Amino acid sequence: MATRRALKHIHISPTQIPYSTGAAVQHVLVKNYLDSKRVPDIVPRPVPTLLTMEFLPVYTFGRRQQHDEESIRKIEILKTKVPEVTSVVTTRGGQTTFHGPGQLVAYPIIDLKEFNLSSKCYVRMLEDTAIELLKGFGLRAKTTENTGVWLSDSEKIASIGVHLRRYITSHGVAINASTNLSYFDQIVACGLPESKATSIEQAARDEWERQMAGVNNPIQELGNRLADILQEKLDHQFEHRKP
Amino acid sequence: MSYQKNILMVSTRLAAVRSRLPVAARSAKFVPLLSNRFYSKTTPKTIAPLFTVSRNTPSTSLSNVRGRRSYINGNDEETPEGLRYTEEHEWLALEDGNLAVIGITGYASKALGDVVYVELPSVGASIVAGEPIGAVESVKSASDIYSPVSGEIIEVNEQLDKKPGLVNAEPYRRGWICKILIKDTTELESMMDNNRYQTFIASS
Repeated sequence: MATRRALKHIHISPTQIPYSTGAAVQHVLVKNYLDSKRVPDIVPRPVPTLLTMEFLPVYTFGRRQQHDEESIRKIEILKTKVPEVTSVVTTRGGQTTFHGPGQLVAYPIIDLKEFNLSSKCYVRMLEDTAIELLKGFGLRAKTTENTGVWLSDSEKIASIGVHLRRYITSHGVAINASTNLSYFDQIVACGLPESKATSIEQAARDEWERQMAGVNNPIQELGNRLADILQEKLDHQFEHRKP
Repeated sequence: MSYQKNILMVSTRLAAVRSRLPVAARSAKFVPLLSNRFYSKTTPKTIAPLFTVSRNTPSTSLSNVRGRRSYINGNDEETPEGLRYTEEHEWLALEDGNLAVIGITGYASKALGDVVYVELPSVGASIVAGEPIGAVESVKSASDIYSPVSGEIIEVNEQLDKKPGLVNAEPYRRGWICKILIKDTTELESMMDNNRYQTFIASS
């Protein structure tokens, strides 16, 4: 229990996958963790994992929107207005968002109990990780009273939605790198009508192009950087947790 | 003149009665309801039977669940006695032998932050101990709630649809989540009492 837990980083390739594939991989990892909690003699304790991937265009909705009539109506409208984009209701917290090519989706599957993190602190940690990642491009992002990572009071660059089962995290953060932002026009992202979506490419085009020139898979490269930052933060948290 | 005398009598009686009440009921939330005898001209020899009412409007859920008021301290942050606890930070109150009321503890609701949505189980569902029976959602994270016992869900707290914040404000009172009719009371033995639960959260 006292040994440092190294974070395993898995990037799902080839480049873009349908949402259901990513959800299935995540489900397998979470189930492994849950089984090891239920029958620890049979299933060994898994390693904390960071899943990164890039989705084909999909609109996802949070848990509370499956029961809300107004949301169901909006989902139907979306399906007719933008039929090439799939719509999926998930089990995570939060509301509507978009995932698509050019966006880094990072799902850390970890056991919060190992690191003595509360769900509030974990969400904060994800936000800080995204902020540090963006610092690498010269962008000064911040958090506001609304969750997520913002470049200004109305421009959102990363969104967060987490699901906790017995302290096992699933879902996580989605950072817009070179996403086609017009998809966001069709939805009220995260239930905040005044907010606009932005991306690294839109906010720091030169820096993005300079750093990603010659990189085969820029999203995977971003994922690698995020893994390093998250590893650092988890180590720090692990060392400073209460004995 | 006698009216003023009666007021003095009432306030001294109140003080006397209050000192005899158990500590929990002495807090400001409980106000003794006065019976008519105090306004009569003769001094009653014994204190008339008093019943306590909370200053807040009693919720219908509390009046359905008899006996839980005795569990509740004045301070919702403390771990009430008489309830059972799980390591997943759920509490269980047992009424009438086999009716279990379930909610999440103050410790859990504080760790979550402001609750914005509670996903309730469906009435009539059959539950096995350890199964998820819904989720509590704070801003951006949704945490599953697990049932510590097996049985049938006979009631859910519909108030949480409009006021999910009750889970933060009154986790042991109006923030209850659902009621389960238990089949097997032996499942309760593996749960913690309030002292063990306090030790558990202090050590984690």
